[in-house]
Amino acid sequence: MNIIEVKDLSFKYPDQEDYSLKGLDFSIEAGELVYICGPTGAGKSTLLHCLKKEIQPCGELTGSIRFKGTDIRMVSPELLVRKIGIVFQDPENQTVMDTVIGEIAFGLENLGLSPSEIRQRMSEVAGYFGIEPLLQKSYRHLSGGERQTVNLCAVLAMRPEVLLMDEPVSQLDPVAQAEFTSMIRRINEEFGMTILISEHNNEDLLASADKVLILDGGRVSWFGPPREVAGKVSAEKDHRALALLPSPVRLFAGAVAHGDPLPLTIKEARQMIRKYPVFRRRETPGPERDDSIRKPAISAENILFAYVSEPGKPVLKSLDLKISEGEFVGIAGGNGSGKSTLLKLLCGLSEPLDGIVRIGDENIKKMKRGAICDKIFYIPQNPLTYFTYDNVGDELFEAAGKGAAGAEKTDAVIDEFRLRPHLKKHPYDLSGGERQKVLLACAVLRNAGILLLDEATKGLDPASRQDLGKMLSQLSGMGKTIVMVSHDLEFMASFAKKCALLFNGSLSALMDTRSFFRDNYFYTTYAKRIFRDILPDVLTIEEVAPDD
Amino acid sequence: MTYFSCLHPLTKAIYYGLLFLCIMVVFDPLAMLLVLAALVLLSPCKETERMKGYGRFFTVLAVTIILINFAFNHRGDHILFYALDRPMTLEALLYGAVSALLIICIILLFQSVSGCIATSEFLYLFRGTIPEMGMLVSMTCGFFQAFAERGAEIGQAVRMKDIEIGNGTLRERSLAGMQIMHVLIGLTLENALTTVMSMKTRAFDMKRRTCGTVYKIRRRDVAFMTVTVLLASVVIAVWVSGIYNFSVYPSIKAAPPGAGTAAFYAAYAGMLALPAYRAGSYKKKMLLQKEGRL
Repeated sequence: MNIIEVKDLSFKYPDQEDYSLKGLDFSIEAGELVYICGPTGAGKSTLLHCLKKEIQPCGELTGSIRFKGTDIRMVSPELLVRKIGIVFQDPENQTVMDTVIGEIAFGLENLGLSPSEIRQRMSEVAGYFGIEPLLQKSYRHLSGGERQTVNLCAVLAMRPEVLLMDEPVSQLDPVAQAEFTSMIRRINEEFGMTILISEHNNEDLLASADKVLILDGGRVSWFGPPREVAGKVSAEKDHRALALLPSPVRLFAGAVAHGDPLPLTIKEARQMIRKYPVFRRRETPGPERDDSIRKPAISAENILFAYVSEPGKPVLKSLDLKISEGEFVGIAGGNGSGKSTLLKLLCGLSEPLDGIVRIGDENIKKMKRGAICDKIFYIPQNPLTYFTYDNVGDELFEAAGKGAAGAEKTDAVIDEFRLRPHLKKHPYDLSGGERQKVLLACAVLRNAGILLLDEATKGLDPASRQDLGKMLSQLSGMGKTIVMVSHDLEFMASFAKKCALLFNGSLSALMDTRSFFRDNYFYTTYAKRIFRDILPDVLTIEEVAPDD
Repeated sequence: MTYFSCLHPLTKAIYYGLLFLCIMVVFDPLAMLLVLAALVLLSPCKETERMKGYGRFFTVLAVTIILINFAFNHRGDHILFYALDRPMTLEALLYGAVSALLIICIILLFQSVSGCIATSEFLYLFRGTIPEMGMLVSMTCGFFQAFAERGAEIGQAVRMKDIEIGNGTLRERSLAGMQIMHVLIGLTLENALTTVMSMKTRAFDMKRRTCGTVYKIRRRDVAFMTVTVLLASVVIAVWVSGIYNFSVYPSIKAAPPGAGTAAFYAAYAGMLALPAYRAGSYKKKMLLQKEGRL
């Protein structure tokens, strides 16, 4: 039985000329897990919002959405609000109450349920998801993963039949992502709940989905079971869609000519490699060996740092780091290992309890803020906290003014970063990738020699990640020193020249990216996991080619 | 979770309501200092670093209020000196100081309320009348802390644009403050859109709300409320009747110390110490229980 039927659905926002959704036609059976993907601006969020009647965006909507055979316009709002639930992207801002127990009860209280029923449902959900120890806690004291779990519980307590999820793991770290993903699978498998989840690139979830819906430019470009879609995308050589599919699919696309199904998981890929040992490492020009002695750009010696709230637990201890001019360094590390703290120390936003940070040869403590800002450009985890102007143009011109960039250079940078169409837009109206571009353009205009990036790839779609990587490599080529801290190992393996691991308060030796990943077994890339004993030097899927 | 937080929402609401009334009615410098001391101890934000941050903010606020009042208010009997032919009086100085104390006390009171009364408790209190009002009151209280946290995050990010409140001339600092406030308001409103959507998708304002948590007024609540009402009545009655009165403006006047004065301060101090006293006795019981003596 179809639980959701979408027929010829089109939607246009009032201030836009083009339709955001164009004639969508698809139906979903009860109990299916549907994975919706597509590049930024493809219409994923708009589609999910259209399916949730209470938050349908204002604009021109044509076509029909049916819930269990009835047009949702004809279903009573009370029934609909119970039967279709939604979890949003940002774990923080979707919470209403200040305690976990209050948040779970919020929807049930709004439905006017009796106190005994509310308590019954709350205890059921809390017990099932193991969040009882969190119930009395304040939201402020939860991690991102815990918050999103509580948001999910708050929706599930209302017992929906359809669960919509708008990029629920994009703001979480990899460990929390994996935990949340397995929770979604569990809900689908154990309760047969219909789930529509939009994501950029969740390799684990796609394999367990019943159907994949690929949106591009507001249209359904592919829809069907994942293996079938992967086969068709590969056969049609749809590279835009292929970029959204898991690494094993991208690896075998075009390589399997015998009508064999494409692998969706690492396990399947490894089995298939044994069957078709046809891969070799692509002969790519490796990074040029550079033996020239470069000046140090930024260094830290014997750093000790602890938060005032926990003085007995140093986050960083005896940390040493030396980065030379023009290097592109990626620093990986687990959650709470002190990656962001390290960046803040490097740009003087925090002060170490002991040790020295130097920019070039100068002690950062003795430098004025203006001088530090001239040399270092810091991109925080939430880029929105950086924008002080109401349009992109003013933001760029301010950076150009401070960096003494002339009109000609400013124009050139705007064109190079393809920002001209966005000059009059508010930074909040840009996508994650576009915001990063604006910040990088500001860094170039500001003429800062050192760029510090905190989790810059968080929430970006594959195309934007590629764009960002290429731009950073280009800037590194221009002599800028880049230090990024990230959980994104695939990105670091593809673009960083050197890597280090932050563990137990100090850094492992800074080594070139290939050496860093060479001996890792768990903490490594998808390609390395697939080819670890076959092509041990391979780091990324792009480095592998089928044998001729 | 403290013992005070565990009391019935109505008990806590009455306590804070009466305390607010006392602060607003009694314009007495010594009493105000007493309130300040109690609120610092009662406030949920006791961590040293936070208090240090608030301390700086409150000092700037107090100095500004005192200076503005001192510069523009010239009434009073005790003239300290003349500036531009205008008398600068001790009364104006004291009046400014007490006003600054009053504002600081109110801010701290709101923080204490937001720390001790959860949103769900606010909604419970207002469920019978208007749920939106409960939500509004609760969000306003919670707003202070969230606003301060987000402000600190923005302050740090824009420091890398050489925008900081801590450095530069007064004009530069004011400009930096305004820029941070601009970002803060924009970001807060942007985030609020998601919160509103989340509320709508979970049936807010669709039906008459119920309350999932069952709150029962117990003997401890009745006792607490009775003592609170009694002590607050003594404070307000003594002050309004003029048995004890200490005014600093337009002239410094104090009633001679006597039984009224003693009753006033004893009642006020008792009211302020009530949560701490109850918490103390609770801890003592816990200790006895742990030692197996109870």
